[in-house]
Amino acid sequence: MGGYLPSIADGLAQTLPDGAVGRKVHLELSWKQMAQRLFSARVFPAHASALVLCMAFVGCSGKPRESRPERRVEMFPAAEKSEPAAAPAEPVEPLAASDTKPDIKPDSKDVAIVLDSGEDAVSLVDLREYKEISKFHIGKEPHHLMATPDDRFLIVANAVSNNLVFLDPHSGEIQRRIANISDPYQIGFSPDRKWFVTVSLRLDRVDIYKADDFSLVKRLVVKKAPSHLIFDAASANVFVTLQDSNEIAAIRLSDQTLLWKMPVGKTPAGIRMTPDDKHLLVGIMGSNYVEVVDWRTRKTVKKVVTAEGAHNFLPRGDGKNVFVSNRVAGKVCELDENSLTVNRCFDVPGGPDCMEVTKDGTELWVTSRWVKKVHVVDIATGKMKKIIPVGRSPHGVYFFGHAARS
Amino acid sequence: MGDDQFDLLAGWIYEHAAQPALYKLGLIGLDELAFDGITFFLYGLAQILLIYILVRPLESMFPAEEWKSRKGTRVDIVYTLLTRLGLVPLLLFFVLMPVTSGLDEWLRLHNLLPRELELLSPWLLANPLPSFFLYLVAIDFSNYWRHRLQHRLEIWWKLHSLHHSQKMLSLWSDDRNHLVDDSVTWVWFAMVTALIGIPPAQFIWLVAASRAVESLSHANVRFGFGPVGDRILVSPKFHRMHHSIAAGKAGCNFATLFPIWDILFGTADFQHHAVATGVNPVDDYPEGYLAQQWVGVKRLFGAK
Repeated sequence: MGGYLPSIADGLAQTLPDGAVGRKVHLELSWKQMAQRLFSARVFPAHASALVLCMAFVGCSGKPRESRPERRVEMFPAAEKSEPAAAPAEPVEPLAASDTKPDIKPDSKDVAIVLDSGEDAVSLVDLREYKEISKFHIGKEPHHLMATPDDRFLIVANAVSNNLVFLDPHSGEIQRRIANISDPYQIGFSPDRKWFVTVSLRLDRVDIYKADDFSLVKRLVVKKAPSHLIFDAASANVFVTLQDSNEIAAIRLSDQTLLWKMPVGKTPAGIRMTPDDKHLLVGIMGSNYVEVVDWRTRKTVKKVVTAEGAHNFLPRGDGKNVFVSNRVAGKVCELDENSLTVNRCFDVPGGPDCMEVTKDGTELWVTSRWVKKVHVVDIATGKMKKIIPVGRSPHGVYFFGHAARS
Repeated sequence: MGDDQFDLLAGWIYEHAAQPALYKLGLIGLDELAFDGITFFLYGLAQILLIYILVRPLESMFPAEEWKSRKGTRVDIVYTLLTRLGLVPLLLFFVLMPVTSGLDEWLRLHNLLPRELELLSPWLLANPLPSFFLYLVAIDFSNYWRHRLQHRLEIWWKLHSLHHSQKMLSLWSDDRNHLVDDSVTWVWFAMVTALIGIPPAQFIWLVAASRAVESLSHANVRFGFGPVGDRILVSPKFHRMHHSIAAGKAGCNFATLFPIWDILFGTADFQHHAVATGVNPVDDYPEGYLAQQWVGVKRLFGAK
């Protein structure tokens, strides 16, 4: 230690090349000289300018503190510290076999669960106070979430952590983790509860698992950039949007075979099956419309103009209408699934993405990716009701007391 | 918190400038990458300003070397701006993405999923700060060995000597690297990521922490952190020895952040004598940015 090159300094006189001769090193200065240097006309103005710019950035001269929304963020709820969830690959409890959901009712402690893809966290938001009440680390890049078919758990897919985290759908408390689920960007259960499918946008893959034990059945390479997925009513096929090749793909589940691909508009994102099982609705993010595809004949039957950056879908819960988020325009449009026409659009700024509707059908909650907010819209009027500050990149959103998914 | 302001500013710029442009260009699929890029740019800009404010006065007050002119440091400012404002990383991302992504894809296709350090303990899983520190240490350990290889392998040294060729070592010198050297470092980092995972949310702070220390350690200042501090964190005195002409290719003090690696592996030199920095004439580089890049390429193909 300390003697690796003992001769370096001592031998400098011999080893210095010509260019280094005469360089004055290790200068000693008095405090007065130092002060003179610091405030010299050449250096000080640059320092001062940089300081002002920096202050502007870090918010020293930003908006007044009192105007900031109050945030009482508890990073790690006590419940998580003792949770068994940290142990990966715990045995998986099978999903309820019955087609009917158990009688689980919303309770007063229900919270909105908001994924933050940018901070690897989950925010819990008080549904009545419209405030983030706690926040905890969940895993790397959580993008999407969905309830298990029996509604007993909420699954968060951590794309970069390669795992699924099961939460209590009421409180958001972690229940368990399942490891070795490779890069689950989007996830979905087939309606018959036999299959669990994940897509990996980054790795061009669709993975098909058995839904009862999450064992991998088939890994398909499906290029490029599989983004969102949906099943047909019979659970025979899963349809996937391919964001970078401007296509949708159909995969038969019984033998896990890629059946076909067909071209659609630029950068297809969200995909939804109409309630009559006839048409696929595809959000064309690179344009301003929803493409309606008859998946049996593989033909586009209509293009419904919504707004720029058509992205994702969520049914209003009235069995008739579906909301479409439009990321570029900053709008959410309501689309009538029977007539395939747009009823209305309203403003939701900041890159609207995933959505959730309250059980009473009065509020639409929308995550806005670029502005660290969840926007709550009064569905009746289309007006903004509340703006909830959350983490860096809010993405998936869920609450137990949500409207019907139809 | 400042990061709130940064994120909101990044969001505003993205929503009102970058996103409409991407949409018009038919590149909306790059939206999340662009958003991260803008954030990276803003953090880099703030970092440059902060380092200038904090470290530049130290160079005036406690210079290790007396310079009549700082002209020789200008090319390093170019390197710093290109790297920390994101242009070099962006270039490397697009050029090397097929390589790193291919590696990741292959590993996952064979069910070789990256391990995560925080899975070592439930406590780490629930506490980002210790897990951040763990990643910082692990990455620094890998950087120590990368740095030793940069000196040990002849072909890599031909490029890395560009970093050492600066005689006027200053707060701007950290990013003075050949693009090919940067590329190999990028691939190295991707391999480390494949081994231990990398927390995306912490990535920007891992980079920021490393760069803050590295800017200071390259600064033209003559102080260290004391006998104990010098052994905990890489100080300007400690790193100046690494850049000494005499150390050259053989090198000493390879650590980026934590000198513990040099202590453990016998490459530490805490003598802190006054040393002139640079390389021997055979390894020297011309002064301009493009000329340096060109000479590096020629040396790769055997030119002297």
